Amino acid sequence: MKDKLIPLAIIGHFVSFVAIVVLLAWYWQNYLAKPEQPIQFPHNVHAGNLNLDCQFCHQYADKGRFATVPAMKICMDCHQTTATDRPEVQKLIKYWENKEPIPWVKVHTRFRKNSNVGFRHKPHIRAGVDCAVCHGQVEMMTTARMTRTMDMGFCVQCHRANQAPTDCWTCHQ
Amino acid sequence: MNLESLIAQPRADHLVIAEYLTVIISLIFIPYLAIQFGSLLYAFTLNLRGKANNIETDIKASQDIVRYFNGSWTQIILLGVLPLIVLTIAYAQMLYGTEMQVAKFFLNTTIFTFLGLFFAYLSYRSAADIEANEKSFRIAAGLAQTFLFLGAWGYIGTTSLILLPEKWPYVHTVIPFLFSATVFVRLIFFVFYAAAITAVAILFFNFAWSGGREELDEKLADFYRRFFGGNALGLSMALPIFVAWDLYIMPRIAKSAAVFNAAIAFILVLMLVALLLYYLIKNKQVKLSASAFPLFLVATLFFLLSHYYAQGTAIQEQLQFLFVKAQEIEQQVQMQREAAQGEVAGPTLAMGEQVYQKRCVACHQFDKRVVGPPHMEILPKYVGKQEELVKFILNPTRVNPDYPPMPNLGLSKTEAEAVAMYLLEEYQKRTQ
Repeated sequence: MKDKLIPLAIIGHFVSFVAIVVLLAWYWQNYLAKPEQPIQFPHNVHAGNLNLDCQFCHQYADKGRFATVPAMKICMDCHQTTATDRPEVQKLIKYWENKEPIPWVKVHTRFRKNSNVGFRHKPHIRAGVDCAVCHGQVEMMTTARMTRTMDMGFCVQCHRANQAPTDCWTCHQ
Repeated sequence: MNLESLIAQPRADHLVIAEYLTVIISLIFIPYLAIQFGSLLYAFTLNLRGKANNIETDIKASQDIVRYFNGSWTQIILLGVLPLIVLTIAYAQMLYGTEMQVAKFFLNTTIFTFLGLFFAYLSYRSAADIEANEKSFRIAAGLAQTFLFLGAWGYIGTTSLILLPEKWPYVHTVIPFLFSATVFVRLIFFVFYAAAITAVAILFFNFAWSGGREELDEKLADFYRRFFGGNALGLSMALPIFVAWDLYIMPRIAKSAAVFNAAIAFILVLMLVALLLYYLIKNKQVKLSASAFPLFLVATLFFLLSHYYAQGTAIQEQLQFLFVKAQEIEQQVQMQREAAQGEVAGPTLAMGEQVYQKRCVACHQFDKRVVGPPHMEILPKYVGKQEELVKFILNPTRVNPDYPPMPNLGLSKTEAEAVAMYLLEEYQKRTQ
């Protein structure tokens, strides 16, 4: 009996850690991984090849709290006639014709609900902070993904380096 | 001296080679560094224990281990120093143009590792007569372990920092990052891994390599089987704890399905190693070490692949950026070569047509609106004024509110001149 018990215990030990890793993978896949978007928007084509400025689409980044995703009209200005044979553009056109908003999935979801962090894009853009500082090299991405931890340390280290205010009220309301 | 300035802009094929090199060279370097560290750790502690408790086997074992694993300058250079230099260049190429001072951080690691290996060699020399040279052996072994530990710590710190691009602009020395949770977990993993792989290596090289060492006396052989078999088994079973812990605290930017899959493969192969070690101890089947050591190296490969995928995921945009940049530079070099050979002198109609077809046709045609206005409507005002057209292409502004604004396509001056030349030539043809 003991002859079988110890090898089984060894197998059980390693299999339990495989289960832990599978659990971690499941959690990552469902809560932390790059979200699936309803349209596979290629930032590398638009911001990369075509060299469109970020604010060409995200028009309210320097005007308010949220950068916002573009209104469909901005997409359709070009795609009414351009690349209409592409499957993802056809999805866009279908949303447009059905007058249905595109259900984009929020990518940057780091701030915890109870942290009372009120981040505003406007003061950062107006201070000359490049979009890539927080969002990474978006012009190399297809759909966007989080490339920064967006934890408090990430914000504070940049504020300190750039002599921006670091008192609590700056970010926490 | 800024070491990063010594690194050249990588070509696209160099980047691919650099990525593969980080795995292949690490597969040589990491086990070697681990065995060097582990063998000295065992030799040092066995020597202390043997002297304190008057156990002759321990003292013999400590001498035997150091004399077997630590005596070759060829190995030190080929498996220790050279791989670290290659890894420095590979990482520096992959992180070219970023704020990450990888060459500087790896230089410090190389120095510590070399010092560790140097003192390891001195401990080898002292161990020739370990009784007479006990003090110098302990000093050399102690210093070797210290420097190898610092070298490993620096290596782990630098490779872990690669997973956090947000920290690169602010990290001028890797030292503060060495005390982070990620580095701490990986460092403990390294110590356990070093002890485990060394134990398995001792079994392999004494009992399986070339049929086993015939000069090994029975008492020492039995000690090796029990002591190192037991150590290897226990330490192997502890390794998955740190793998899971590392995956839990790994930055999300670095995680991908491949990272988890490789980690699972590592744990499963390690399970096979543990089972082999159990039967090696229980049934005294020392020849099982012939399979245990190669399997441990396979497990090492999966572990390194997990880290390779994590790094690749963390810096995927950086690598993509370098690929695109390398292709642009190659095109420019090609154009300069052609210009130097007199085949092409500045902008040409052929270049203009090429650029037009690649960059402009998505939004423009000559005779109808696509996104932008038809060329036949716009070009009349630029006839005889090519420079103005070039200026507009390089810095477009919104003229007609009926059309969306034209983006700046980032063309070079030569490309813009070529396109302007082509457009006006085509316009002339169509109006004749």
